Amino acid sequence: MSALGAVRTRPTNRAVFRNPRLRKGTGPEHGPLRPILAALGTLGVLAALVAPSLAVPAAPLGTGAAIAPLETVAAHRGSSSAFVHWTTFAGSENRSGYSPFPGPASPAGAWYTCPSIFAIRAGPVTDGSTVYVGDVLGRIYALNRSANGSVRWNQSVGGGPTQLDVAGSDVYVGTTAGELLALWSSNGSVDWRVPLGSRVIQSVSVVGDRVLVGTAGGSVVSLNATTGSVVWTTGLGAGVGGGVAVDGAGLFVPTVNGTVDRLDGAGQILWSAKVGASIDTAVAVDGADVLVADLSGNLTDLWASNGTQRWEWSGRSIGVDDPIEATPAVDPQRVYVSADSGSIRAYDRSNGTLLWQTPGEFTGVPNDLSPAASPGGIFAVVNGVQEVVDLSPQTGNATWVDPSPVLIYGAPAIDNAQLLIGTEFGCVGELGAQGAARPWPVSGVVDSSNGTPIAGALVTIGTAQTSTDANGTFSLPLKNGTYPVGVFAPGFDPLTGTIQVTGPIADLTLVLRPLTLFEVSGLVVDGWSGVGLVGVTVDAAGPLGYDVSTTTGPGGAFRFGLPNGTTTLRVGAFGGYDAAAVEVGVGGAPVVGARIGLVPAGSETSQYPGWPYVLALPVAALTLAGVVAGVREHNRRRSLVGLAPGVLSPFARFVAMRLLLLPFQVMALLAIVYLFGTLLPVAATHASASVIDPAVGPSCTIDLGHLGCDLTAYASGFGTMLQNLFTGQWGWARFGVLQEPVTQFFQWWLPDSIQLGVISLGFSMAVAYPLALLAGWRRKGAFDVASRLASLAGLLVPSFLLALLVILAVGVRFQGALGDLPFGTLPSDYWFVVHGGFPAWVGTGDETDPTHFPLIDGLLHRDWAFEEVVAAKVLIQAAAISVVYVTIFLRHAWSVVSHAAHEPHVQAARARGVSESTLLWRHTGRRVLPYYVLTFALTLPAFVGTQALVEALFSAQGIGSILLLEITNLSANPPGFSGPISGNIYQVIVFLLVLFILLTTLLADIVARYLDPRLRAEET
Amino acid sequence: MSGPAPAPAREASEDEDAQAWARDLPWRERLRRSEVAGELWVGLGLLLAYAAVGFAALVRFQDGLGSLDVHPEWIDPRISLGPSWAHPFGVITVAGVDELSALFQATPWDLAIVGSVLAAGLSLGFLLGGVAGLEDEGIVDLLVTSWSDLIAGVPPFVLVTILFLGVEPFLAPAHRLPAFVIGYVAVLWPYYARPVRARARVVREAAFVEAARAAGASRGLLLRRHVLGNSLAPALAQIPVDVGNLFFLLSAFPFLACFGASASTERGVSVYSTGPYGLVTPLPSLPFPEWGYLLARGACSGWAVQWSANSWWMYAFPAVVIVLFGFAVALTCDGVQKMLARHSGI
Repeated sequence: MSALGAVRTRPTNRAVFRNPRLRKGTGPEHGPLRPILAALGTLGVLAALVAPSLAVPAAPLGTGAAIAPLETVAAHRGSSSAFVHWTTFAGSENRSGYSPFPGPASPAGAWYTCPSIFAIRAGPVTDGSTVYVGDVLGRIYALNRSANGSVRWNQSVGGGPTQLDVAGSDVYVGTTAGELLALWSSNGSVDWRVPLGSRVIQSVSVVGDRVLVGTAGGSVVSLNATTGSVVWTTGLGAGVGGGVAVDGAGLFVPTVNGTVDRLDGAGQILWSAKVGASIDTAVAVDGADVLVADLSGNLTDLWASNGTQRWEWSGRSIGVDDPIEATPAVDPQRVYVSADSGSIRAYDRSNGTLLWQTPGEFTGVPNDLSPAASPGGIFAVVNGVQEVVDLSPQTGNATWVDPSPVLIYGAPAIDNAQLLIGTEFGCVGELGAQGAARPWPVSGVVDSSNGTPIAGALVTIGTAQTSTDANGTFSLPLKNGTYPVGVFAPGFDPLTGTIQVTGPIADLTLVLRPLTLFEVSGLVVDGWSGVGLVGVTVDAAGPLGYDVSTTTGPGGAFRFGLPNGTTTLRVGAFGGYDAAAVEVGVGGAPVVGARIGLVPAGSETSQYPGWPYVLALPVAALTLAGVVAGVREHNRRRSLVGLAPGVLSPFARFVAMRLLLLPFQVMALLAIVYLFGTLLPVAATHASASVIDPAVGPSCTIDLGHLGCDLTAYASGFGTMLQNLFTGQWGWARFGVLQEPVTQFFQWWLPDSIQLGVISLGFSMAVAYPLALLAGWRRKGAFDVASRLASLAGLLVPSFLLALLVILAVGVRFQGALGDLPFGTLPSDYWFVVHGGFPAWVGTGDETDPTHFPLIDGLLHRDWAFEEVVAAKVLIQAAAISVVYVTIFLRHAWSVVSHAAHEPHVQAARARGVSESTLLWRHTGRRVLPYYVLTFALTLPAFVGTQALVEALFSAQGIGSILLLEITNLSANPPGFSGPISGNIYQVIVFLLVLFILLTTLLADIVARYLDPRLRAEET
Repeated sequence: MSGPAPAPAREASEDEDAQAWARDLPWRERLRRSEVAGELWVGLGLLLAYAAVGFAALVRFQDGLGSLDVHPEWIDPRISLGPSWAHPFGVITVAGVDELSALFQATPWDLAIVGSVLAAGLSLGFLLGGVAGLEDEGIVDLLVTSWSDLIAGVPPFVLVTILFLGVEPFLAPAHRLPAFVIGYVAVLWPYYARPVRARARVVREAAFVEAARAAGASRGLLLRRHVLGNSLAPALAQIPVDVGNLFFLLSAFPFLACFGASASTERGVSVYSTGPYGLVTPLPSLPFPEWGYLLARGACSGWAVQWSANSWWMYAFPAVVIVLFGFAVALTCDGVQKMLARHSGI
């Protein structure tokens, strides 16, 4: 149960007591107590040893001080918690006749062996491998269980034997001759023998290092188990009627006078209770109950604590005088008695009600063998008809009946799913195949966390399944093993775990918590405009029959509490819109941003029309231009040397090949982006929200438990992403309060990025071109060294710090001069307020009309104050980009220039007397121009990256800052989920960026070729 | 993040001449030309100093190398503790650490990060680039060219970030740094492989290689003996660029995350709110002794638009430590590059 997490047993004594697994101390209730108990136990044993020798007077009745030693002694072996084998009379020292392990499911597969010819009187006990019996003449036999009962040794004890007790390395037996013997269990030789002067009655109890016996002379004797020396003797005033039963509460001894005495560990009598007629067998003790059967046929339950009567069942109630000579057997619910008539009876343990009885018949042979109880069956001997029976504990119906050819004298013992019996004529039988155990009853109750039982909960343990009854209880038969447990009830969180069954489990408590709900919020919007729709009813059909609905509020917002799992949100046809449904996966966290886009009835697609195929245009135009130019040039050359126009030139082929490869290159990059930027983050959150076709209903949802399903969904996800990206179906995005198609954001903010990019590129080139020329012109000159150091510094100081330094340098002055800080693209809201409010041509997305380029729109509207602030901001941001980019560019351009400055044509021109400045600016400058173009292409990714960062640092609106915003929030808000921006807009940006960079690089190749005649010449 | 065009060819012939005439040169000229050695020694010396500091930090902190000594009383954003005798580099408030000791503690971490990135990137780039150059249009060649074409299409830091963030949710905190290094190397190696491949293609045609091949030299031997040695120059030019980029990545994202965040005080209690940018960091826990992070944290806490409100020491010292380290690497690489050019004549 401890393996079950939330599944726990009730912390009752019984659950602890009966379930061997719990006794291991793995349960949370018991774990911490064990060391304390162990310590107390040690102290107790010491006290028990010391107390008598010091002759400490007994504590008054009922006080804990005198009881403590015995409790701990008894815990050592006397309780069935330590039950491993049927080592003594009635199974254990408390004489409960109960084995927590099951008996044989059928008597088949047995052996019989007859080591003696005299009746077996000392019934079989076993330590697992050896069965010990004794015949009426006092010969003890040790039989090898694994060799069909072959005799290991035999030993005569010189008198009729009592029932045996196997403990440690000894077999203890008392005799009618008044001796107590300990035989070595290994070879049967006598370890010690002690004369007690009086016949030993019925059985021997061994608890810890004490041997406890009762004698016909009316005394209880405690001996040292190792040496046989007598520790104490207590006289009872009457002959002992049955063996000593030992439990946590003390020693319980019946007398022939019909009393039961309770003694503590030091032999002091704590109470003495008169039960009635004479008692001829040991009492059974279990927990608080002491069950006494007497020769009048009565069964009495005494409170172990004080000896008062709990209940009594009178033998007269059935009108027959049916004495009981066998010790009752006790299981957690019932008491079983075998009466002399051969009738087996079961009583309710709590009140003594007779539950069932089997018919009996007096045959002259008293049926005095104690029954053996187990979780699955009651095994009893009915000597009148010479049968061994297995009865159902609940009904008394026989599961099986095994007729015996002879009378049975040795009481049945349950061990290793087998039943051991001894018979007249000296035979011992073992019934049932080894290991053919019947299942354990596993029962319990399903409670809610406030303790109320839950009726109708579905309990599944392994493959067995049942529902709880009105009291929330259930019972399932389970063999030993570890099983998965699942408990489901409407309105509660499912409970899952595992349970290990090693014995019967009676009080398993499965606690269900009320369904945990996670907030799922979202919007119902017009699928075309993104405008929220108010008053729409949204139904949520969640898992486990959870059903809830709500109506959208302002802005089309709705909010539910939904349990873990996939829930379908549905909206019926509404005001001219088609019905729609969305699946929302809740994975242990709130889901925000679920979106149901309604489309007008009859429209073909729920997607925003976007810019279909608009991207194919530049690609196609470039391809065409490149190929046409290449062909024309190639043909011109061929005609120069008198050849007819021919096929594509190598360069045209190169351009065409690059363009052909371009879509694949983009797709490969997008595959990486999809894998790492969409699939893995989504998989990590275990949740998804996907639009499904309302006509088809819920389709395959992303559920990580079902791989096949996932793969399809993910694969189609990539396909859809590619298709949507290439056809311009980019969907919607949310940015703060704005909910717009992605194309709308691009229309608003791409111009801002282009404006900043073009200006900063111009700025950078204007600085880098002369700087690189001058530095490269005089290698190792002061200017060269300075620019190289500056370039290195620019490379090593992270660009954001450079940008910060730029802001630091000009920020305050900027504010002083223009009344605004250099952040943002447009002037701040405060600035607008100061300058007469927002002009009508500044829109909700901070976009400017009509061109969306703020600088141009400012000019068009002749708003000079606006123009001044925007220009200053753009220039500062461009400067920040340039500071970083120039250093990158310089590092690349420097070596090109230094190379070009010393080329032969420059040397030749210098020899002709051309001035140095002409050599520098005209000869070298023109020479390096194509390399500059190529270097620009090479460093374009770095430029774009720098611009994105500067946009972010300056809070400027633009595509770069959105990209960073999306990427840095990727883990927290995977695609399709909430975040500052949602709608997978970064995928679109990466897609456009890759296209832009690859196309620009290609364009740079083409331009460089036309700028440098030698590149063209190389080609031919 | 890309290698410069091959430049030293001309220098080489000049250097050869220099060697031949060195004896006859006046001392000033000789000194000027010996700058190669000077560069190398200064660079190596600086690197050795960093290594010594790193080793000292390893010995000093041992098991606690990853956990900074955070002083809660310095986390208050209102306080400002500049350089003093007790704190020579000042204190980074909000992070709550003494800057000098944090930078000191960070040294082994950063040396390990830079070292592992460069070692892995260089080895992979050299191996794949060399093989690709030698075997014309083979499978390795296809891999090198197509992967470098791919990553040329997108800003490298975007790609590294996406690669890292894709696997990050599945990683234990301690595994983030290795994963980041692997991601970075995955994007980095083509920048080494590409020039090595180009150089290998040139070397392949050289007469001495032809001769070696004719003599029965295996491809491995050719690669080891002739290609790798001759391909070192372009790789060396790339190394400082990558050191710069690495520290950019390590500092820019933590900076973005904390830059938008605000720290204010309400009724005497410090209130922090996150900015719009999420935190992307490979560090197992924060604050962590790592130069880039310390720079980012320092810039967030120390920087202000007004000069008067600036706590310059918070970002200046980490920047100096990083830049100085970059300089050491650059000087060493340049020195080695020139020395190689002088020896090999290529």
